[in-house]
Amino acid sequence: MSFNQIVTALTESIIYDRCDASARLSRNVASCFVLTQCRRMPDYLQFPFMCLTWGFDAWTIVFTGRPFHLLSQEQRIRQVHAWRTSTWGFRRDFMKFYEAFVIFACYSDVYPADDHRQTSGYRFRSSR
Amino acid sequence: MSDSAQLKVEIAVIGAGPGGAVTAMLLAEAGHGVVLLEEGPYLSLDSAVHFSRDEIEQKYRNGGVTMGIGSANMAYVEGCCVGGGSEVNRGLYARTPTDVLDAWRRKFLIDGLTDTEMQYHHKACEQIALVSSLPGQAPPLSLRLREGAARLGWRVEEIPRLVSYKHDPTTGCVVGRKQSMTETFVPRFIKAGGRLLSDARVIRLFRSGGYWQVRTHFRGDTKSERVVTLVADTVIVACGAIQTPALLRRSGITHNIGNNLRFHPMIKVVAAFSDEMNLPGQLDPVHQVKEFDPRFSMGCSMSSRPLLSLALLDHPEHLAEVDQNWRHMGIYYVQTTGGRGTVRTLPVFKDPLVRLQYDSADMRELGEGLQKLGECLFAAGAVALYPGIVGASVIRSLAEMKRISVEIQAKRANLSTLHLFSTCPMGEDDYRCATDSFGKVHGVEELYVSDASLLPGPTIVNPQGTVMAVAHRNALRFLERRGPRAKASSITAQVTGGVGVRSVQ
Repeated sequence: MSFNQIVTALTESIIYDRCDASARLSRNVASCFVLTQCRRMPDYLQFPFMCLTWGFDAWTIVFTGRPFHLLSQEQRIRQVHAWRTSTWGFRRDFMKFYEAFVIFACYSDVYPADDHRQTSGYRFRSSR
Repeated sequence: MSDSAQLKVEIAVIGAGPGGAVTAMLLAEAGHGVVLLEEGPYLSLDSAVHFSRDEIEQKYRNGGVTMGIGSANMAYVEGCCVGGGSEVNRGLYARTPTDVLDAWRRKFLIDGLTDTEMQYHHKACEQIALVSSLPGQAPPLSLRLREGAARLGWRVEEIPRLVSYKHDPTTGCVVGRKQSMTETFVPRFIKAGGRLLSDARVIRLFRSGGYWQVRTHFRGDTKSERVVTLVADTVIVACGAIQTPALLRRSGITHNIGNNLRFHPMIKVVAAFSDEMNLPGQLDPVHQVKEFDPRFSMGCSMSSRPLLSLALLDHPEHLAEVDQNWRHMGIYYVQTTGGRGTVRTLPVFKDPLVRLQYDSADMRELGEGLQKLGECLFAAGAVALYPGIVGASVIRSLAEMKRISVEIQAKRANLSTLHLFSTCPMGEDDYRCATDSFGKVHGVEELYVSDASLLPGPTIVNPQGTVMAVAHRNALRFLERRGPRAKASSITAQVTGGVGVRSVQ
């Protein structure tokens, strides 16, 4: 399994679970954004984070015989919920990292005009 | 990595954020040969819309994935482009409070740094980077904070911004433009004959034969990196409160470096109102509640739908409300001065490790700040608050707000900051300080620091004004010591490996 496949599957599940149906069209954009962020995170975090992602994928093999990225959407979402509400802090942090970037990427894609509404640092107009 | 080249310079300024840009401009205008090195790209202010995904990708260090680790993790943001933090912040501006200067002078034995002295440097910087109040009415989200504070009898201020407003006669509108470094000090530096090398990451400093060797990985027009060694009489490090101590420690300079990280930890709250507050086309929120300074202050953030969705991360079941009710919602924050940290380098790795510590008093102060913010927002007519705390419920009344524990559990707080300081504090107290009162590193020849890491503690207010004024002050002192110089022979390129060092003249 490749890291990209796992991230893409996880991104898709987060979108199905958390976002409006219109955001589903943004899954490719969100996957690309999340993968870029993973590549750019501080170097000492990259390897542990990749290992954790592989661990996340492999976790379901114990219970279902299949890794996360090969599960049905419903099964995947169940695993996402389990990790989000886990008593183990590292699982919650892991899920929060992915959710933050997926949700931000989706909303940025769905509502691009919002970035222009408040335009500090950019040309903007204000009637007196 | 291929080819190595050498470039002989008089002064190398490393880092083109507010500290580095102000310093480099003053030295170049005094006739010194200055090269300004910046790890990130040279992009215009308009290369990405502010607070957008594009901006994060283009201008934030590590794509915004920067985090301090400790009893409570905290996300922080560093600009990584020419202009540094000034390109990605909101440009809220304040002069350094008198009592903050007094405390710094007393505790760290800093020569000068009086209020009168600093006013001069603030004014000098404000003549180049213009500071203005909003030309029209503040947006409703900002006005609501003011109204809430006024009802409670609390002190609230409209904070000016580093923005220049001009009237456009063709449209009859006012057009504003942020006065970031790429709009102000950097162009003046280039006009004065300074050389700007962007995409140039300094790896390490060596002292050899009475000169500094600045080993730099340079990513020019080609994608591959090349090693360029700058040979400099003087080096001024201005990479910000995290990267400056990291570079110095990598270079074997460790005395009081990276031991005293301070910051303004911030916790956000999404407030929902019964009427529409978050309207298209509105200007940036500018009000801050100052009643509880220096313990904590409160303000209003940008509240676009992507940012609202992020702020509601701890309330997953309410995310859909962003789609439905975003016009009724705004993001507010409370920030304190609690917590400390260290910056350390790790063998093999490039990025520094930032470790943080909070004690229960720090978390209690944040909790008290959050309660006060809630009080203010309910006084302003909020109908629901969504605090940035894992597992917290939605708060629908002041009575509910008062029932939550004042001391926030560190692991549950969703903390972030934009303001980092104090990793190389200045002053004459050799036991605590990394540099003298004017930024010269103690015990090291011709090495200076000029950025937020010099500030001995939190500024309480938005820090960019202080960083610029201190850099201005220290650069003038440097010039007094050194004197002006003819620049004709000050930069000599001795290219030995055919590297095409791109400079912007």
